[in-house]
Amino acid sequence: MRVPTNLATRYPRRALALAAAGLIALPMMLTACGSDKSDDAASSGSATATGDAATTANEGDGSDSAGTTTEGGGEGHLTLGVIGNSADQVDPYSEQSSLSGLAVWTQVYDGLTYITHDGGVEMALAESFTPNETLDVWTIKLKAGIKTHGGHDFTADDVIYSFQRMLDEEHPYAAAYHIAMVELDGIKKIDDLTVEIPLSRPYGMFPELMGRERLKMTSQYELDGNPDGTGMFELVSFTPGREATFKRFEDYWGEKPGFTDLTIQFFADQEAVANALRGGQIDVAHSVPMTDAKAFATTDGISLIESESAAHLTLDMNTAMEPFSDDRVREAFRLIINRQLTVDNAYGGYAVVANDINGNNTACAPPDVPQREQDLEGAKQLLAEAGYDESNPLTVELVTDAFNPGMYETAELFAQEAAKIGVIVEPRQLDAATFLDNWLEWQFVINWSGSSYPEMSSSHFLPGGEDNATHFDDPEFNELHEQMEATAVAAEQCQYIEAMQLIEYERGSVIVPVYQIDVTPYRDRVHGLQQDLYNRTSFSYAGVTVD
Amino acid sequence: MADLTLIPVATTARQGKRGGHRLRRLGSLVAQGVVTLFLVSALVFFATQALPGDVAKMILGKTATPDRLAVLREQLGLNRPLLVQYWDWLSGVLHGDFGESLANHEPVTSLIGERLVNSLSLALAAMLVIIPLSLLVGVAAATHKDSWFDKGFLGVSMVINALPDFIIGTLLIALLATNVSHLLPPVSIIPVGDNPWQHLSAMILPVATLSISGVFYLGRLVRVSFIDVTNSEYIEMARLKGMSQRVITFRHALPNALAAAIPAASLVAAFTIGGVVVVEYVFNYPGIGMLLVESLGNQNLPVIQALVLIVAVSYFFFNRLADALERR
Repeated sequence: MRVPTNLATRYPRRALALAAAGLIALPMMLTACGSDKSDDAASSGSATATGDAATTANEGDGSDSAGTTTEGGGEGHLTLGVIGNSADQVDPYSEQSSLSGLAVWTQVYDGLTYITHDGGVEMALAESFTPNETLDVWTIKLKAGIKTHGGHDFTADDVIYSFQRMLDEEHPYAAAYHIAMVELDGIKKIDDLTVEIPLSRPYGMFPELMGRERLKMTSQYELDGNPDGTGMFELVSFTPGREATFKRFEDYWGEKPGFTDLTIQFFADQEAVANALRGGQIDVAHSVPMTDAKAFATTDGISLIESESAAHLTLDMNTAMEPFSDDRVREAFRLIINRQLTVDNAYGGYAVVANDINGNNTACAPPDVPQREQDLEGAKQLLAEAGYDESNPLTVELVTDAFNPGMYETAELFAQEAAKIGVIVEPRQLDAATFLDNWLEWQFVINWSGSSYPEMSSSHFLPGGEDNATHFDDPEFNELHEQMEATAVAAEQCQYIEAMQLIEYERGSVIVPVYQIDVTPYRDRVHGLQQDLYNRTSFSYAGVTVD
Repeated sequence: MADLTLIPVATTARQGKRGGHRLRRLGSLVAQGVVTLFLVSALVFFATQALPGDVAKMILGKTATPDRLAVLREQLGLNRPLLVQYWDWLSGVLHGDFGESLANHEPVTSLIGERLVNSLSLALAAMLVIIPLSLLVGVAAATHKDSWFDKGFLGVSMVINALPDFIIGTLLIALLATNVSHLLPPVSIIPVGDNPWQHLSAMILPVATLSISGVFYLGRLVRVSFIDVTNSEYIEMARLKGMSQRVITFRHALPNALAAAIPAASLVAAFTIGGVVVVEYVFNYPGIGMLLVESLGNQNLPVIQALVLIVAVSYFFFNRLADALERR
C-alpha cells in the first residue's frame, strides 16, 4: 500500500508538514518499499529525498522475493474519461506534454522512485539511491525480480538505455531539460542491478527528481515505439484522441489494481466528460466543469473526492518591464486582489485562499507571515509613490490562454477590483498558439504551477527557467536554491525552502491568490481511489477495485 | 429509300455533334475542377501556414528553448522554403499521402481514415432522414397552405433555423440523455475498429441534431417549390381536365417541385458535411469534425490541411452536382 487516505480528513497533508520537521535525524538513504510506507516519515514528509550512505535498503516490509508487495487481484473493467488529443503519445519522453498522455504512460511505465499522493518520495523500481560525499555521483540499486511486459528482467542496462534515450541530442525530449546535470558518458553499470550516475554538479534531490512523471524507465527491448514497460497495466491498444485499452500486468512488482481491464476514453472537453459520467458511459472522470462538480455532489450513484492540490495559477508580473520592475507596483498589485472573492466566484468554492507563496507543493512548513488581505487604499498609495495616479493612470493587459478553469475568471475579477482604484487592467484571452508564441515576453500573464517546490522554484524563479515569465533574478534566492539542491538532508532543504518562500512573499514577482482543490467524480461501483496532491486521483489504481 | 438512308445519316451527324459538345463540356468541367482544386489546395496550404503562432513552439510548449526549437524545426522540415513545402505536400496528396501528424508522427491517412468513415456515415444517415422527411413535411405544408399545420411548420422552422446546431444538440442531450431522461447515451462512444452503424444508439442524437435543422430548412424550400408548381398553368389545366388531386400531386406537381428542390438538397448535403464539425464536437462523435477542432487547437498543420481539403472537395462536388441537377 502507498499512503492510505482517510477521506473523512479533508486535507491530511497539513499534518504531514509537521512530520517533515522530524526529518532532520533521518538516515541518508531512501529505502525500498513499494509496500506500506505511509508510516515512514521519509516518504510522507517533504518532497525532498534524504539518504544515509551507511544505511541499507529493503527493511522488513513484508515484501516478496522482488522486494515488493503484489497483493491485489480481482476482476472487472474500469473506464476513465479524460480530455485527450489525437497528438498524444505513449512515450513519456515525447516532446509534447499532455494530461491524457500522462494518464496513459503512467499505467505502462514506472520510475526509479515515486512521488507519493502526499508529495513524499518512495522507492519504486530502485531499491536505494546512495550518493557519494559530494552528492555528484549517485549509485542506484534496483529491486531484483522486476519483469517488463515483454517478459524481460528489468536491469541496469534498461536504466542506462532510458537515460540514453532521454538525453538523445537528436530529439528535443522534454525529459532532457530536467536531467541536464546527468553526465551521460560517465554512467557505469556496476552489475546487473546496480548503476552509477555521475552528475555535473552536486544534486541532493536526485531521488525526488527521478520520481517526476516524465522520467519513467523504459526497456531496452522496446522496438519501433512499442512500449515495454514495467507498469501495472500492459497496453493493448492506443488510438490517440479516441481510446486506450489495457490489461492488468499479472507479474507486476507492486500493488496491483483490483480489476483486470482498463479503458481510457478520450473526450474533447470537460462538458463531454461530465455528460459521459452522468450517462454511465465512464466510471471515473478526471475533471469536470465546476458547476457540474457541484451537481455531482448531490447525484445518486456518483461520489466526489476532493484533493488539496499542488497546482495553482499565478499572476506573473514581468520584472524586466515597466511598471513591474518597480517593487512598489508589484506590492500594490498583491494588495489589489480579493482572494476570497476569487475562491467564491472564479472557483465556485473549490479553492482555498493563498498567500503569494508557492507553498502547496512541499510538506515543509511555510514561513510564519501574516495572511495578505485586500487593501485598496494601501495599493493606491504605493502606486502614487510609483508615479501612477488619476492624472497618470496605470494601464496593463492581463493575458491568459484560459488553459485551466478559473484563469479567465480570475483575470476578470482582478480587473474589476483594480478598477476601483483607477487602475485599468484589460483581461485578454488568447489562443494557445499566440500565447506560446510570445511566451516569456508578456508584461502581465496568468501562469500555472503544478510541480513540487524544487522543480517549480527552478523553472519559475531561476534565470533561464522555462516558466520564469517574470524574469525573476534574485541573487539571494538563486543562492538559496543552489544550497537546497546541494544538500540531501530534508530538514536543511526545508530551511532553504522556507527562506525562498519568504523572498517570494516579501519581494516576489508573482501573485498566488488561491490554491485550487481538485475534484474527481466517480461512480459508486469504484472503490479505493485516493486523494492526490498532483491531481492523479483518477488514474492511480493501486488497490482500486470495482463492483 | 433515299430519304430512308438520309435520315440516319443526319441523325448520326446530330448525335455526333451532341456527343462532341458533351465531351467538350465534360472536358471543360474537368479542367475547371482541376484548376479549382489546385487553387483550393494552394489556399488551404498557405492559409494554414498563416495561422498565428509557431508550430514548433506549440509542440514544445513552454520548454521551447532555442536549441530544442532548432532541432525540432529541422526534424519537421519547417526550415525549408514554403514553396518547397507546398510542392512536397501537393505531390504527396496526389499520391494519396497526406504526410504525418507533426506531434506524434502518425500517418495523417491513418488518423483520418476511420474518422472519415464515421463522419460520412453520420452525414449519410442525416441525409437519409432529411430528404424524405423534408419532402413529406414540405408537401404536406404546401398542400395545406395557410392551415394550422402550415403556419405551425413555418413558425417552428423560423425558430429552428435561427438556432445553431450546438444549441439544438445541447438541448437534446439535456432532454433525452441527462437532465430530463436517460433514454439515449449523451456521448457518442464508438469503439475503435467498429462501424458506427453497429452503434445506432450512439448515432441517434447527432443524426437528430443535423436532421432537425436540415428538415426545417429543406422542408421550407420544398414547400415553396411545391406551391409555385401547383399555381402553374399546367396544373390548373390538369385540374380543369378533371384529374384527381392525388394524380395532380404525385404525377404532375411533385416531380416538377422536386426538380427545383433536388439542387437545394445537394447544398444541404454540403452543409451537412460542414455541420458535422459542430455536431461531432457536441457529442464527442469520433469523426473528422472533432479531429479538425483538435488539430486547429494544436496547430497540427498536415491534419488541418488534409481535412480542410476533404471538406472543400466535398463542397465543390456537391455544388457541381447541384449545378448539374439544376440544368437537367
